[in-house]
Amino acid sequence: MNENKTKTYRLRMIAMLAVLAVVAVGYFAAGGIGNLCGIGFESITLLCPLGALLAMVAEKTAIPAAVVSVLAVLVICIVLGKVFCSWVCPVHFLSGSKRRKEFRACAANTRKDGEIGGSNAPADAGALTEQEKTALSGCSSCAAPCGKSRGVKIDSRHGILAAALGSTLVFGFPVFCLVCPVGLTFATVLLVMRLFAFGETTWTIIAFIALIAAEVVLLPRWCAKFCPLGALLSLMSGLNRTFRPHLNAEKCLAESRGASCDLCVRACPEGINLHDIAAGETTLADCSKCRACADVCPERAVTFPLLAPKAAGERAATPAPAELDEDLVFAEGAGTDR
Amino acid sequence: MAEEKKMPGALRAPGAGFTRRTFTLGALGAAGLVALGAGAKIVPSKTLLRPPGGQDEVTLWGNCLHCEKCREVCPKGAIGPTHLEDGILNMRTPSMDFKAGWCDFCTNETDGPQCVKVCPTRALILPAGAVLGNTETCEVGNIVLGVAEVNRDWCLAQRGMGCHECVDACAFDALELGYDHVPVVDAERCNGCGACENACISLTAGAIAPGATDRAIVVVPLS
Ligand code: SF4
Ligand code: SF4
Ligand code: SF4
Ligand code: SF4
Ligand code: SF4
Ligand code: SF4
Repeated sequence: MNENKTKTYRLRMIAMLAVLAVVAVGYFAAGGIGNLCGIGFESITLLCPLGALLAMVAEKTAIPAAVVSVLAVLVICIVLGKVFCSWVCPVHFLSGSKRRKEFRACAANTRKDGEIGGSNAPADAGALTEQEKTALSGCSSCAAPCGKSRGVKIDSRHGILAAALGSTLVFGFPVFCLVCPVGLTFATVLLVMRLFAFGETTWTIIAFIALIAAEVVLLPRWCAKFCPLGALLSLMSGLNRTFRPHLNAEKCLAESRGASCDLCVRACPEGINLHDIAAGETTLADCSKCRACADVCPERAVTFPLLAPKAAGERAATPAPAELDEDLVFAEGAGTDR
Repeated sequence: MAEEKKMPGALRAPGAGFTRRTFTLGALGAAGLVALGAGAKIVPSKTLLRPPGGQDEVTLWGNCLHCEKCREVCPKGAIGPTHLEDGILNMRTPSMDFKAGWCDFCTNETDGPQCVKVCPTRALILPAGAVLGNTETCEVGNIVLGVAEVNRDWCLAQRGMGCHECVDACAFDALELGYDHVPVVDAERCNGCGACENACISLTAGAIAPGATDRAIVVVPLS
């Protein structure tokens, strides 16, 4: 309930607002700071990695600043993971309230399901899995939460990422950027500032706000289901091994005493199940280091060590059982429970 | 279908319905992007006045990531944001706002046009053999942003008010007063720098011509 009052949430909010403020000041100063599509000083610019890729696809040539930016973001992702999403991106916060509401609805739902009888859901699931397998043939293993505990789980975001690249190749301009809520948020900030500074009125402000609202409020969970930028960052963060969340099994109520605590699972905005990574919607590649799981844990069992202790590594490195069908069904059920 | 009825908790109803849903969302999103790309191409876009180096619209559309850096660094404040009204493809790309400032091609900057210099994606890039206008030497150059047009009905000089603000403002000798003391544009010498439009007082001083919706001299894109 008061998860949005936690210390890290406030810190993250401050970090995001600081970036927003620097950009907003830059809009009216002559420094050429830019925005998240390309940020830096004078002729040094770190481009949005997705935008950089799209611009190069559109022109079918390598653009030096774009290549450097993609590599720089890759390095950041390897060291820090998908931090951009929860510490810098304003959209993460915009879609926050909606997500929290859904958590509660979902939690209530699962509780109810449990009471009425668990047989209902798994039976359903089994049937659909088969249907899915025939329908999607080769893809079924990837489109599903396939029980992977390492690497990146491919989901709808990655499909949209592929479409963003493909459409740019066909049409010759970065199509996704027209509707990207990250870019549109900064564009809206600029237009609102110009509205007050110069009295410049335009329908564009209303259109942009409506578009952002449609994407982050009307669509079910923009960040988890749609954002191709998040998808690209998760792919790049697949190589991240440092500062990953680590569950101390001795402290954790569920692991050590078998209590039915899943606070950390429900707190995670990225759909990670720290109890059983394979059962989550995503893997640790999607961890945005928001620390929601650590903050919510009553036993302080979640830490972010520089490198995960050996034991945890071994536990995560045993994906074999998850490949069994039973576990897969269980995994899907649990993965959606947040 | 069962899960369709149980919104919104059913968004993540347990089981493989999630899989199909994931696939559907991905497919819908992908289809949406393709439709958007095709739509943006079909809907006509206005031809806009661009900063130096942005004259090739296809390159600008393809490379501009809307970082706003060019707009921020322009020492003359001559670059403005583009709006939805200008066409979907032009949204958030840079265009010249000669009401706010005019382009002197950064004559007094040691390292050339600042907008071209900061553009990280080479959306603004001077073609080989580009010669820029120079306000000191009156060199017109071959980078032409647009061409000025006088609307005689709205011009103060036309109504005998002796105005010649635009003529004085032009650094390239592209304007002179005609036989009836109304300015005439020499299209050969006009490189669309916007100084005249920036200086024109037809909407702010004297008796404003009835029905005037814009300044009496404006730069329009080359057709
Ligand atoms: S609009 Fe979005 S995807 Fe495009 S460059 Fe900007 S942040 Fe990146
Ligand atoms: S998933 Fe996309 S919109 Fe969400 S926080 Fe990450 S970059 Fe921002
Ligand atoms: S695992 Fe923890 S730190 Fe990582 S995204 Fe989930 S809640 Fe945030
Ligand atoms: S060349 Fe200089 S004055 Fe002209 S638009 Fe670019 S930055 Fe502004
Ligand atoms: S600096 Fe280049 S990429 Fe950035 S807004 Fe201007 S033209 Fe577009
Ligand atoms: S400044 Fe405007 S009103 Fe004056 S002469 Fe030139 S065009 Fe006419």
